Amino acid sequence: MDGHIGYYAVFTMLALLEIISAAISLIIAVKAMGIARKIKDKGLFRLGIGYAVMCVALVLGFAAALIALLYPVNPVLQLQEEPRHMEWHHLGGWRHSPWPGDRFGVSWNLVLLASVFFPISYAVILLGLSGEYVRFEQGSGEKLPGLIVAPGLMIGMASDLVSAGLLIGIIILARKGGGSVGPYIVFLASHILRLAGESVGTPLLFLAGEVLRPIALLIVLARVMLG
Amino acid sequence: MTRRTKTLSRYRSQAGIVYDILNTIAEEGPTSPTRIMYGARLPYDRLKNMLEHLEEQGLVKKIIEDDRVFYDLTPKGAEVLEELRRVRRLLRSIGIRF
Repeated sequence: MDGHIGYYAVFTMLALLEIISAAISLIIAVKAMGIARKIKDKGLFRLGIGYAVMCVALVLGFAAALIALLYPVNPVLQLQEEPRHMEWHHLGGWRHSPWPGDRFGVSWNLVLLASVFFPISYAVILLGLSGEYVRFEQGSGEKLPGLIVAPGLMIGMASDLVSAGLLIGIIILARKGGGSVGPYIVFLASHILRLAGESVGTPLLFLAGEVLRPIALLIVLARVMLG
Repeated sequence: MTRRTKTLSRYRSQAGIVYDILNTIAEEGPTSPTRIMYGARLPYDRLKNMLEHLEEQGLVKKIIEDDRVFYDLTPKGAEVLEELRRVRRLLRSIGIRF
Protein backbone atom coordinates (compact mmCIF):
# COMPACT_ATOMS: atom_id res chain seq x y z
CA MET A 1 0.00 0.00 0.00
CA ASP A 2 3.10 2.22 -0.03
CA GLY A 3 2.15 5.44 -1.77
CA HIS A 4 -1.37 4.15 -2.36
CA ILE A 5 -4.11 6.68 -1.70
CA GLY A 6 -6.14 4.07 0.25
CA TYR A 7 -3.28 3.61 2.71
CA TYR A 8 -3.14 7.34 3.45
CA ALA A 9 -6.94 7.67 3.56
CA VAL A 10 -7.32 4.83 6.09
CA PHE A 11 -4.58 6.01 8.41
CA THR A 12 -5.60 9.68 8.18
CA MET A 13 -9.16 8.72 9.13
CA LEU A 14 -7.91 6.47 11.92
CA ALA A 15 -5.56 9.12 13.31
CA LEU A 16 -8.36 11.72 13.30
CA LEU A 17 -10.87 9.38 14.94
CA GLU A 18 -8.35 8.33 17.59
CA ILE A 19 -7.40 11.88 18.56
CA ILE A 20 -11.02 13.12 18.58
CA SER A 21 -12.12 10.20 20.73
CA ALA A 22 -9.08 10.68 23.00
CA ALA A 23 -10.29 14.25 23.56
CA ILE A 24 -13.85 13.00 24.28
CA SER A 25 -12.63 10.40 26.78
CA LEU A 26 -10.46 13.05 28.46
CA ILE A 27 -13.50 15.33 28.80
CA ILE A 28 -15.53 12.44 30.27
CA ALA A 29 -12.68 11.66 32.70
CA VAL A 30 -12.30 15.27 33.84
CA LYS A 31 -16.06 15.83 34.25
CA ALA A 32 -16.67 12.52 36.05
CA MET A 33 -13.70 12.93 38.40
CA GLY A 34 -14.57 16.57 39.05
CA ILE A 35 -18.13 15.84 40.14
CA ALA A 36 -17.06 12.67 41.98
CA ARG A 37 -14.55 14.65 44.03
CA LYS A 38 -17.26 17.11 45.07
CA ILE A 39 -19.79 14.50 46.14
CA LYS A 40 -17.13 12.02 47.38
CA ASP A 41 -18.34 9.30 45.03
CA LYS A 42 -15.62 6.65 44.72
CA GLY A 43 -17.45 4.68 42.03
CA LEU A 44 -17.80 7.69 39.76
CA PHE A 45 -14.18 8.66 40.44
CA ARG A 46 -12.99 5.19 39.35
CA LEU A 47 -15.15 5.46 36.26
CA GLY A 48 -13.36 8.74 35.45
CA ILE A 49 -9.97 7.08 35.93
CA GLY A 50 -11.09 4.33 33.54
CA TYR A 51 -11.80 6.93 30.87
CA ALA A 52 -8.45 8.62 31.58
CA VAL A 53 -6.72 5.27 30.94
CA MET A 54 -8.80 4.90 27.78
CA CYS A 55 -7.58 8.34 26.71
CA VAL A 56 -3.96 7.12 27.05
CA ALA A 57 -4.80 4.06 24.93
CA LEU A 58 -6.42 6.24 22.26
CA VAL A 59 -3.43 8.60 22.19
CA LEU A 60 -1.20 5.55 21.66
CA GLY A 61 -3.49 4.48 18.80
CA PHE A 62 -3.24 7.98 17.36
CA ALA A 63 0.57 7.85 17.58
CA ALA A 64 0.57 4.46 15.80
CA ALA A 65 -1.64 5.78 12.97
CA LEU A 66 0.51 8.91 12.71
CA ILE A 67 3.73 6.86 12.45
CA ALA A 68 2.08 4.67 9.80
CA LEU A 69 1.26 7.86 7.89
CA LEU A 70 4.68 9.43 8.26
CA TYR A 71 6.65 6.25 7.51
CA PRO A 72 4.55 4.33 4.98
CA VAL A 73 5.48 0.72 4.21
CA ASN A 74 4.39 -1.86 1.68
CA PRO A 75 2.77 -4.52 3.89
CA VAL A 76 2.82 -7.25 1.23
CA LEU A 77 6.50 -6.71 0.50
CA GLN A 78 7.23 -6.57 4.20
CA LEU A 79 5.63 -9.97 4.76
CA GLN A 80 7.79 -11.53 2.06
CA GLU A 81 10.88 -9.99 3.63
CA GLU A 82 10.08 -11.38 7.08
CA PRO A 83 13.00 -13.83 7.54
CA ARG A 84 11.17 -16.67 9.29
CA HIS A 85 7.85 -16.20 7.53
CA MET A 86 7.94 -19.28 5.27
CA GLU A 87 9.69 -21.35 7.95
CA TRP A 88 6.84 -20.68 10.36
CA HIS A 89 4.34 -21.60 7.66
CA HIS A 90 6.02 -24.99 7.31
CA LEU A 91 5.97 -25.46 11.08
CA GLY A 92 2.22 -25.37 11.16
CA GLY A 93 0.90 -21.91 10.51
CA TRP A 94 1.70 -18.26 10.93
CA ARG A 95 -0.82 -15.79 12.18
CA HIS A 96 0.04 -12.66 10.27
CA SER A 97 0.22 -9.35 12.07
CA PRO A 98 -2.96 -7.62 10.89
CA TRP A 99 -1.49 -4.12 11.20
CA PRO A 100 -0.70 -2.91 7.69
CA GLY A 101 1.15 0.20 8.92
CA ASP A 102 4.37 -1.59 9.80
CA ARG A 103 3.70 -5.23 10.68
CA PHE A 104 6.66 -5.60 13.04
CA GLY A 105 7.74 -2.02 13.74
CA VAL A 106 7.13 0.76 16.26
CA SER A 107 3.56 1.47 15.18
CA TRP A 108 2.55 -2.20 15.65
CA ASN A 109 4.12 -2.16 19.12
CA LEU A 110 2.14 0.98 19.94
CA VAL A 111 -1.06 -0.73 18.76
CA LEU A 112 -0.22 -3.67 21.06
CA LEU A 113 0.50 -1.36 23.97
CA ALA A 114 -2.83 0.39 23.39
CA SER A 115 -4.47 -3.06 23.30
CA VAL A 116 -3.23 -3.67 26.84
CA PHE A 117 -4.48 -0.30 28.08
CA PHE A 118 -8.03 -0.90 26.82
CA PRO A 119 -8.87 -3.91 29.04
CA ILE A 120 -7.31 -2.04 31.97
CA SER A 121 -9.61 0.91 31.29
CA TYR A 122 -12.65 -1.38 30.97
CA ALA A 123 -11.68 -3.11 34.23
CA VAL A 124 -11.49 0.25 36.03
CA ILE A 125 -14.82 1.34 34.46
CA LEU A 126 -16.36 -1.95 35.61
CA LEU A 127 -14.98 -1.35 39.11
CA GLY A 128 -16.41 2.16 39.01
CA LEU A 129 -19.84 0.97 37.93
CA SER A 130 -19.77 -1.73 40.60
CA GLY A 131 -19.21 1.06 43.15
CA GLU A 132 -21.98 3.14 41.64
CA TYR A 133 -24.57 0.40 41.50
CA VAL A 134 -25.34 -2.03 44.27
CA ARG A 135 -24.71 -5.24 42.34
CA PHE A 136 -22.80 -6.27 39.27
CA GLU A 137 -21.97 -9.34 37.24
CA GLN A 138 -18.73 -10.00 35.44
CA GLY A 139 -18.56 -11.41 31.91
CA SER A 140 -16.96 -14.77 31.33
CA GLY A 141 -13.56 -15.15 29.70
CA GLU A 142 -12.57 -17.56 26.98
CA LYS A 143 -9.57 -19.82 26.44
CA LEU A 144 -6.83 -18.51 24.19
CA PRO A 145 -6.09 -20.45 21.05
CA GLY A 146 -2.78 -22.32 21.06
CA LEU A 147 -1.40 -21.25 17.69
CA ILE A 148 1.84 -19.97 16.27
CA VAL A 149 1.33 -16.26 16.02
CA ALA A 150 3.08 -13.14 14.78
CA PRO A 151 5.24 -11.36 17.39
CA GLY A 152 3.08 -9.66 19.97
CA LEU A 153 -0.15 -10.88 18.45
CA MET A 154 -0.98 -12.96 21.52
CA ILE A 155 -0.95 -9.72 23.55
CA GLY A 156 -3.42 -8.16 21.14
CA MET A 157 -5.67 -11.23 21.08
CA ALA A 158 -5.58 -11.71 24.86
CA SER A 159 -6.31 -8.02 25.39
CA ASP A 160 -9.27 -8.17 23.03
CA LEU A 161 -10.63 -11.28 24.73
CA VAL A 162 -10.29 -9.74 28.18
CA SER A 163 -11.78 -6.50 26.86
CA ALA A 164 -14.76 -8.36 25.42
CA GLY A 165 -15.32 -10.16 28.74
CA LEU A 166 -15.09 -6.95 30.74
CA LEU A 167 -17.38 -5.14 28.30
CA ILE A 168 -19.99 -7.85 28.67
CA GLY A 169 -19.76 -7.22 32.43
CA ILE A 170 -20.12 -3.45 31.90
CA ILE A 171 -23.11 -3.92 29.57
CA ILE A 172 -24.87 -6.23 32.04
CA LEU A 173 -24.24 -3.86 34.94
CA ALA A 174 -25.16 -0.66 33.11
CA ARG A 175 -28.27 -2.36 31.70
CA LYS A 176 -29.35 -3.49 35.17
CA GLY A 177 -28.82 0.03 36.43
CA GLY A 178 -30.94 1.33 33.57
CA GLY A 179 -27.99 3.30 32.09
CA SER A 180 -27.16 3.65 28.42
CA VAL A 181 -25.20 0.74 26.92
CA GLY A 182 -24.94 1.89 23.25
CA PRO A 183 -21.27 3.00 23.32
CA TYR A 184 -20.23 -0.17 25.18
CA ILE A 185 -21.93 -2.36 22.55
CA VAL A 186 -19.92 -0.53 19.86
CA PHE A 187 -16.74 -1.07 21.91
CA LEU A 188 -17.61 -4.78 22.15
CA ALA A 189 -18.22 -5.02 18.39
CA SER A 190 -14.87 -3.30 17.84
CA HIS A 191 -12.99 -5.86 19.94
CA ILE A 192 -14.79 -8.76 18.26
CA LEU A 193 -13.80 -7.37 14.84
CA ARG A 194 -10.21 -6.86 15.99
CA LEU A 195 -10.14 -10.40 17.34
CA ALA A 196 -11.48 -11.73 14.03
CA GLY A 197 -8.81 -9.70 12.21
CA GLU A 198 -6.09 -11.05 14.50
CA SER A 199 -7.35 -14.63 14.22
CA VAL A 200 -7.26 -14.76 10.44
CA GLY A 201 -4.60 -12.09 9.91
CA THR A 202 -6.96 -9.87 7.94
CA PRO A 203 -6.05 -6.17 7.98
CA LEU A 204 -9.53 -5.14 6.80
CA LEU A 205 -11.32 -6.64 9.82
CA PHE A 206 -8.66 -5.38 12.21
CA LEU A 207 -8.82 -1.83 10.84
CA ALA A 208 -12.63 -1.93 10.92
CA GLY A 209 -12.35 -2.77 14.64
CA GLU A 210 -9.82 0.03 15.15
CA VAL A 211 -12.12 2.54 13.40
CA LEU A 212 -15.23 1.36 15.26
CA ARG A 213 -13.73 1.91 18.72
CA PRO A 214 -13.36 5.70 18.50
CA ILE A 215 -16.84 5.82 16.96
CA ALA A 216 -18.20 4.56 20.31
CA LEU A 217 -16.95 7.76 21.92
CA LEU A 218 -18.33 9.84 19.08
CA ILE A 219 -21.74 8.31 19.92
CA VAL A 220 -21.35 9.63 23.48
CA LEU A 221 -20.55 13.08 22.07
CA ALA A 222 -23.53 12.96 19.70
CA ARG A 223 -25.88 11.92 22.53
CA VAL A 224 -24.67 14.72 24.76
CA MET A 225 -25.04 17.28 21.98
CA LEU A 226 -28.34 16.06 20.56
CA GLY A 227 -29.93 15.06 23.85
CA MET B 1 -43.36 -3.48 33.31
CA THR B 2 -43.45 -4.52 36.94
CA ARG B 3 -40.21 -6.41 36.52
CA ARG B 4 -38.45 -3.43 34.91
CA THR B 5 -39.54 -1.05 37.66
CA LYS B 6 -38.28 -3.50 40.25
CA THR B 7 -34.93 -3.89 38.47
CA LEU B 8 -34.39 -0.14 38.15
CA SER B 9 -35.17 0.52 41.80
CA ARG B 10 -32.67 -2.15 42.84
CA TYR B 11 -29.86 -0.60 40.85
CA ARG B 12 -29.61 3.12 41.38
CA SER B 13 -26.43 5.09 40.97
CA GLN B 14 -24.91 7.01 43.87
CA ALA B 15 -24.63 10.14 41.72
CA GLY B 16 -28.30 9.77 40.75
CA ILE B 17 -29.33 9.48 44.40
CA VAL B 18 -27.30 12.57 45.33
CA TYR B 19 -28.90 14.42 42.41
CA ASP B 20 -32.42 13.42 43.50
CA ILE B 21 -31.82 14.51 47.10
CA LEU B 22 -30.28 17.88 46.15
CA ASN B 23 -32.94 18.46 43.50
CA THR B 24 -35.79 17.76 45.94
CA ILE B 25 -34.34 20.19 48.48
CA ALA B 26 -33.77 22.82 45.74
CA GLU B 27 -37.38 22.53 44.57
CA GLU B 28 -38.95 22.51 48.03
CA GLY B 29 -36.69 24.88 49.95
CA PRO B 30 -35.87 23.87 53.56
CA THR B 31 -37.34 20.37 53.57
CA SER B 32 -38.16 17.69 56.12
CA PRO B 33 -36.46 14.28 55.74
CA THR B 34 -39.88 12.75 55.02
CA ARG B 35 -40.41 15.01 51.98
CA ILE B 36 -36.88 14.25 50.77
CA MET B 37 -37.52 10.53 51.28
CA TYR B 38 -40.49 10.69 48.88
CA GLY B 39 -38.77 13.05 46.44
CA ALA B 40 -35.61 10.95 46.25
CA ARG B 41 -37.49 7.63 46.47
CA LEU B 42 -35.27 6.31 49.26
CA PRO B 43 -35.94 4.26 52.40
CA TYR B 44 -35.47 6.32 55.57
CA ASP B 45 -32.32 4.54 56.88
CA ARG B 46 -30.52 5.00 53.58
CA LEU B 47 -31.64 8.61 53.29
CA LYS B 48 -30.38 9.30 56.82
CA ASN B 49 -26.91 7.99 55.89
CA MET B 50 -26.90 9.96 52.64
CA LEU B 51 -27.95 13.19 54.39
CA GLU B 52 -25.19 12.73 56.98
CA HIS B 53 -22.70 12.16 54.16
CA LEU B 54 -23.90 15.25 52.26
CA GLU B 55 -23.80 17.34 55.43
CA GLU B 56 -20.19 16.25 56.02
CA GLN B 57 -19.34 17.32 52.47
CA GLY B 58 -20.95 20.71 53.10
CA LEU B 59 -23.60 20.23 50.42
CA VAL B 60 -26.63 20.43 52.76
CA LYS B 61 -27.17 21.98 56.17
CA LYS B 62 -29.37 20.75 58.98
CA ILE B 63 -31.82 23.27 60.46
CA ILE B 64 -33.62 22.52 63.73
CA GLU B 65 -36.75 24.58 64.46
CA ASP B 66 -39.13 23.76 67.31
CA ASP B 67 -37.74 20.23 67.55
CA ARG B 68 -38.37 19.73 63.86
CA VAL B 69 -35.52 18.91 61.48
CA PHE B 70 -35.18 20.45 58.01
CA TYR B 71 -32.48 20.27 55.40
CA ASP B 72 -31.47 23.11 53.09
CA LEU B 73 -28.92 23.46 50.30
CA THR B 74 -25.65 25.25 51.02
CA PRO B 75 -24.13 27.45 48.26
CA LYS B 76 -21.72 24.56 47.58
CA GLY B 77 -24.68 22.15 47.33
CA ALA B 78 -26.43 24.45 44.85
CA GLU B 79 -23.25 24.64 42.81
CA VAL B 80 -22.87 20.84 42.79
CA LEU B 81 -26.53 20.40 41.79
CA GLU B 82 -26.02 22.80 38.87
CA GLU B 83 -22.94 20.85 37.81
CA LEU B 84 -24.81 17.55 38.08
CA ARG B 85 -27.54 19.00 35.85
CA ARG B 86 -24.90 19.97 33.29
CA VAL B 87 -23.18 16.55 33.22
CA ARG B 88 -26.38 14.50 33.46
CA ARG B 89 -26.54 13.65 29.78
CA LEU B 90 -22.85 12.81 29.66
CA LEU B 91 -23.08 10.49 32.66
CA ARG B 92 -26.19 8.85 31.24
CA SER B 93 -24.30 8.16 28.01
CA ILE B 94 -21.57 6.29 29.86
CA GLY B 95 -23.92 4.04 31.81
CA ILE B 96 -24.74 6.06 34.94
CA ARG B 97 -28.47 6.29 35.42
CA PHE B 98 -30.04 9.45 36.80
